[in-house]
Parts: sequence; structure tokens; C-alpha cells
Amino acid sequence: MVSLFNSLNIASNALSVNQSAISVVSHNVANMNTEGYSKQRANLATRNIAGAIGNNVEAQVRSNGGVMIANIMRYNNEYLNTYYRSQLSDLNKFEQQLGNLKDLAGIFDDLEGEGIDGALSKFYEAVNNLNEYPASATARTNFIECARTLTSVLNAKSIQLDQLNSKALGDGKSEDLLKTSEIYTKIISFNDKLDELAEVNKALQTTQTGTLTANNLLDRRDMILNELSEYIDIETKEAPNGSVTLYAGGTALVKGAVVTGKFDIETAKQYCVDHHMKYPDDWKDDEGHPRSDLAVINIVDPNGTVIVDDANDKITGGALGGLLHSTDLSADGMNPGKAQEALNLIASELADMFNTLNKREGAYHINPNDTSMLSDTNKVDIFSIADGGGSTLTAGNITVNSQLLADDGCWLISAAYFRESDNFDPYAVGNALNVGNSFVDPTTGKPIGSFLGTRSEKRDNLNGQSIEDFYTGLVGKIASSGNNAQNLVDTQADICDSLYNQIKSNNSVDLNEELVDLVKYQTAFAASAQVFNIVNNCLETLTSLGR
Amino acid sequence: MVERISTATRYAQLVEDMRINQYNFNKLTAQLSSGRKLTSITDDPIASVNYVNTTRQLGKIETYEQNVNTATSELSALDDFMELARGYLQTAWDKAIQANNQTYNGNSLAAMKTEIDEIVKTMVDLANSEYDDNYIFAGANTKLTPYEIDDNGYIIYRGTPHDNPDYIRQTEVADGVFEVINTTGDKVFGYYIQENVTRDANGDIVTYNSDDGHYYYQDGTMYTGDESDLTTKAEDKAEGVMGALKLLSQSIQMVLDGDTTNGYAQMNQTLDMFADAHNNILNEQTKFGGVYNRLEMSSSTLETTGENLTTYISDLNSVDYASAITEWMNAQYAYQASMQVAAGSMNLSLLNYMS
Repeated sequence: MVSLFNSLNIASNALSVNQSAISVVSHNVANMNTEGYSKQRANLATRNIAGAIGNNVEAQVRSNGGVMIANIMRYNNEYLNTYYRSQLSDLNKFEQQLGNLKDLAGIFDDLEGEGIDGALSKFYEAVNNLNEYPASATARTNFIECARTLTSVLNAKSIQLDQLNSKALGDGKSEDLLKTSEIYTKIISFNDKLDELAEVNKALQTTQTGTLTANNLLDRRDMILNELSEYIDIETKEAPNGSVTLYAGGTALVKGAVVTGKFDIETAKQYCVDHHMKYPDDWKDDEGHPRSDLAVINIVDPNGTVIVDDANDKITGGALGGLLHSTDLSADGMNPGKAQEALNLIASELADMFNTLNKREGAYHINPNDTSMLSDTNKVDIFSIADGGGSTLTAGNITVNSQLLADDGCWLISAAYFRESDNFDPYAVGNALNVGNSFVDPTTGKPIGSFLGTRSEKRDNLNGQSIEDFYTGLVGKIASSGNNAQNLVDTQADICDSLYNQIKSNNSVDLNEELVDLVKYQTAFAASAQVFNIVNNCLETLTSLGR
Repeated sequence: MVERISTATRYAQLVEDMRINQYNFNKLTAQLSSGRKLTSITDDPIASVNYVNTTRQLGKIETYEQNVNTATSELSALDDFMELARGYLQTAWDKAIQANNQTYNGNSLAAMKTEIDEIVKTMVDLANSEYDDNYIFAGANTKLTPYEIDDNGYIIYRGTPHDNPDYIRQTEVADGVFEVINTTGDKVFGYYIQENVTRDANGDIVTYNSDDGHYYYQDGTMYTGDESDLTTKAEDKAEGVMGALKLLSQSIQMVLDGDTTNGYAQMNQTLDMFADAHNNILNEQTKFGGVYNRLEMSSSTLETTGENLTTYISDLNSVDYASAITEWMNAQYAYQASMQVAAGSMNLSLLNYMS
């Protein structure tokens, strides 16, 4: 026989279950705007009373125990999460590259007629003026000043590029600069996130699955994994208890509650010192090509022992991947490293052209002691390396030869050129062969270079282009790379947004849904209470029988 | 089954829509306020490169226009100076014709000589004329005074010589197109100098060729006689109007000194020299008149090209205000609409209907 107390218990239990369900709804509503929160739902199940044996109806009714909470389900789609993280990693890599390219485009933004293009134009205008008035001190001084402006602009742009790299990766040599770089800060944050993940893993290992606590930990875990994927391209393997093993480039960084590997960064120079190499001479890849990496990431165990030496190749995604390869000379598109290389080429070709013309056999400058006569006793370079600039001329160290800046220096710019077949005339100051139009020497069939001819002179080292055309090509490449990067980021951001919306649609709280649930559980709660009252009345009726 | 749309998704979508509309609105606002379509080279790489190239080309054209302007005004000055020179030459030539009549007495001839000597000085001053702080008849060496009368009365030209065409000054008037903008003093005015001349036994002039060590006549044939028969001595050399003036002055002096035969013979020679010098100057004037005309044509071409390029640059980078304002207003409406929709739909939920 089924006891009324059984019904009373069922009603009482239902009150408790609906109360808990309302609590879950309340938790959902409270967290409806919490980033990373996944909606939870109390899954109700029929509660059967054990020991109700028998196949008759009476026994079956006796076994009905009412309702219970089977588990607290967390709305989640692991496939979407993993896919979102891989796309998020790419997005951060592209965004990092776009950031670099925007800075780079800012450095080479010549739309206002300023910058290198403007300086080159002014310089060639000065050459043009020098061609018209080769013996004029004013034209010569103007030429020198325009050359100084050009070298200053090249120096400034080179410094800006260095700073752009330094800001991102340091200068490859200084530990102090590395410590103030963006990559260093990001690596510290990344390593902190690894610790956080290990902590959450530890908590998950000791928490029963399918509970509110476990679900909240899983939300936290997913948030950390999302944040980690912004730094690098990660791989994960989930245990049944929800804790994950995290891999970077095939190396486990977190295994359950233990951080097994962290990133450690050092300058390229320090890396070379550690490996008994000379920086930058020995800083080369396996094929012997010079490496442009300014910093090296190693993976170290908790004791500081290196477990992966030079993991740069393994870190390809995320913001760290984008940063690490911003100087990669073999990368597709432009980056500050490649722009610096192109500027160095421009500087060295410019210097080579004008220095060769000024010092070649047959070139004469004006005698500073008698400006009506020619002389070849002090042939000097026009462009040289600034003091302390090393041995290779670059955009960063190119300067106008200090001898030209002296009081009588302007006369040292060559003013005449005589071929072997010409009769030397010491008074022929400013003959047109030197600064004027280039032409082919009829005796040798070879073109004779001239200052003015350098403007259109096509150079092998500049891919067969003139300096100005090469520079415009460089600006075009930077603009195209920036534009492509922007398109790439836009597309990737659309993908990520779409995935994020899918995840949000799938996981996050919908107020209407919660309010419906609330009313649903409230109704069930009220109904259960009513059942409780009625059963209670029945019991009272029973107890009043026979009075 | 309809896809589940959570409240958070709806909020995120509304915010994203507003963000996109705000971005479009801001971009158009920036373009309108700056008047430029390209705010960064990455906006439109092709247009940016075209813009940079065209700006450079426009810069070149401005340089060429300046060159042409400088050259035309310098050529005008050159023509004026040559016209003046031709006037003085004409005066001297008239005097030479009068003197050759042999009807003038000593006083008249002396006065005539004084006048010729003054013309020489005026002509040297004219040949030493400066334009924009540059000696206009000095060839390429514009800072060197081209003419000097030394203590012996020789009129020496120190500018770059005309017989070497590489010593001319050129100006670039288009990409790789150069125009000669100067002449040399020796071509226009000539000179009167003393130089060593080698003659053979018959008095014919020979010159030494250092390349093969032989002497050659002026017609190019090689001298085959003994070198010991050659004599070298300093001789006067008169060229152009300077030479003619100097010889005329000398010949009048010879007549005044009583050497009438040689004096009048030399005076007669100067008539041909004046005629040749006159033609020389006229030829130079004609030549530079042609250059002047070409420069004026270049100026017109450069102006047209410059205007075309300016229009092109404007097309590339300047905002078309009519269409930009229309787009801007559309963007403004879209932005307003997205905000209105967001405000209207954000508070929509069952909550409004529950008590």
C-alpha cells in the first residue's frame, strides 16, 4: 500500500528540486553579462525509490520517488570552442602584423610630399640647379644642404624603423631594450596564464563533474585557453575531469596541475653568446642565410633547464608569432625588417653612384684656392658613414662627407669630367659631361654617367630600377601589404565574430528563456506546495478519523 | 527549429552594427573634414602609388617650368646683349667704311680711333655682362669674368671655349630633354690675343699633334719636311668683333703714324671681319631665337601636362564633396538608425510583461 507520507515526501522533494532549479536560473540571470559564462541548466530526472520490487501496479506506484536533479548541464560546444581558438590565434597574429604595418605605413606615408620621396625630389632639383650653374657657390651649397636633408630623412626613417623593431622585439643586442619590448611583456603575461591554467586544472581534478562549481571552473578554463590562443597557436587534450594538457608546437606546457614548460626570451646576441657564436656574423639559419630574428624564445622547465632550444620556428601563430616574425626577411609581404633592408639598399646605391662620379678618373673639382680653375688633388666622397656608424654604409649611418661641410667644402663637388680623348682645360669649370645629361661615349660605346643622369639610372642592385622608382615600389609594397593585412584582419575578424556569435548563441544566457524557466519552476514549486498542503490535509483527515 | 539567439548575442550584434555604422560615419567625416580621400597609403595602395608618382612628376614639371622660365629670361637678356653688341658693331663698321674712304684728315681719324677704342671698352663691358649674378658670356664658368684687356692691349677671353661643345650650359626642360641656354664669348665677340704659331719655310701654319708626334697643315695634310725648317714665334690673333675693332684701331694708328699703305690695307681687311662678326652674332641670335621659341612651346606643354596631372591628383585624392556629403548623410542616417534600433530593442524581454 502506498503511504501518504510517500506523497508528502515527493511533494517536499519537488519543492527542494524546483528551489534549486530556480537557483540555477537565478545564477544564469545574474551572469547574463559575464564574459565567458556558459548558461547552465538543471536537468531533472524521475527519482525512483530503490527496493520497490514487484510487477504489480501497487509496487510500481510505490517506487515513484518524485523528481531529482540529475545534473547541472553546461551549454557548450567543444568543437566550436577549439575552432574559435585556432581562428582567434590567427586573428591575433594578423592584428599584430597589421599593427606593425600601420606603423610602417605611417613611417612611409609620403602623401603629403614629405619624407624620403620629397627629400629625393628636392635633392634632384638641387642637382638640376647645379647642372645649370656648376660654378655657383649657391648652387653647390644648395646641393650639399639638400643632400644633408636627404641623409637626415634617411637616418630618421631608419631610426623610426629601428624603434619600431625595438618596441616590438628589442634591438637584438640590449637586454634592457628587450625587457621594455612588447614581446617581453606578452611572454610574462603568457607564462602567468599558464600558471592560472594549472590552478584551474588542479581545482577541476578535485571537483565533481556536472556541478555548478565544476561548470564555473570550466568557464574559467575556456576563458584562459581563449586568452592563451591570443598569444600562440595552442593545442589541447581534455581529460574526463575537464582538466587539459596544453601543447605549443608539440611541447607540453601544462599537464594537469603542473606547468611543465614556460617561455623564456633572450636577445639574439645573448643566444649567440650562449652557443659560442659571434653576433651578427654567425647568426645564420641552417642553410647559411643571415637570420633577422632579434629575439629567441626557448622553452624551459620549472627548474629553468632548456627543454626546447630556439622555439621561434614553432611559434607561428598568435600575437607572439606575429611579433616574432615582424623582422623576418623571408616573410611574405613587407615588415619593418624588409623595409630597413630596402632603405639600406637605397642609401648604399645613392652613395655608390655619387661617390663614384665624384672620384672617378677624369673628374675634376674646383680648386678651393682659385675658384676659376679645376683641380683633382682632393677628390672626396659625397656621402660617407657617420662617426661611430661601423664599416657598412646604411640608411641609419649615411651622412654627407664632413669635408664638404667645411668652409670651402662646396668646391670639392666635381665640376668637370674629361675623357681620355678630351684636351684638359683647367679653366673649363662646370663642363656639362659631369653634371649634365648622360650620353654614350662614341669612342667606347659606353654611357657616361653624370650627376643628373643618376635620377634615371637603373641599378642592378635595385632590381633594375632607379632609386626613385625603387622607393615608390617600396611604398607600394608597404601600402599593399598594409591593405592586404587590413583585409586579412577584416576577414579573420568576421570569421571570429561569426564563431563568437555562434558560441554566444549556443552558450550564453537568454533572458526570455530564463524567465520562462523561472515561471516554469515557480509554477512547479507552487503546485508542489499545493500538493504538499493537500497531502497534509489528507493526513490531518486521517488523524482526525475516529475522534 | 529556429536557431537559439541569446540575449548576449543580440546585444553583441547591436553593438557590432553600431560600431560598423560609427566607423563608416567617422571615416567619411574624416575625409570631408580633411578634403582628402586617402588618409593613409594603405587605404588604396594603387591610388597611393599613383599619387606619389604623380606628385613627383608634378614636382619635376615645376622644376622644368622653373628651368624654362629662368632660361627664357636669361635668353631674353642674352638676345638684348647681342642686339646691343650688334648695334655697337654696326657703329664701328660704319666708322671702318668711312675711314676706308681715305678722305678723313688726321684729326678726324684720331677722333675716330678714340671712338673705336671706347667701343672696344664698351664691347668688353658688354661681354662681361652678368645676369642673375652669373657672367652670361663665360660659357660654363659663370663665375669667371670672361674678358680682360691686359697691359699690352690684348683682349683675352677666359671663359670656356666654344670649340669644345661639352662646355656649354644646358637646362632640362622635360625628362631627358636638354636645351643649350648659353653661348660663349669667343663665339659672339671673338678676341685679340697673342699666341705661338708654327710656320713652315713657306709661311704656312702647321700644328703639332702630340698623339703621333707629327705636324699637320690646317687642311689636314701632314707636314713632311724637316722640323728644323719650322719656326715658332708669338703672333697676334684677331677673331670676331673684338679682333676687328682692335685691328681697326691699330690700322688708324698706322695711318696716323704715316704708314698709310699698310694701315689702309689692314683697315680694308677689317671690313670683311666686321661683316663676318655681324653674321656670327646674327646667327647666334637666330639660334637662340629658335631655342627661345622651343622653350615657349615647352612651357605651354609643361603647363598643360601640369594641369592634367593636377587634375589627376585631385581625382586620386580630393574628395568629391557632392557625392561625399551624400554618402556622409547616408552614413549618418544609418548610424542614427542603428542607435535607435539598439535603444528600442535592447529592453525588449518577457520582463516587461511579468508582474
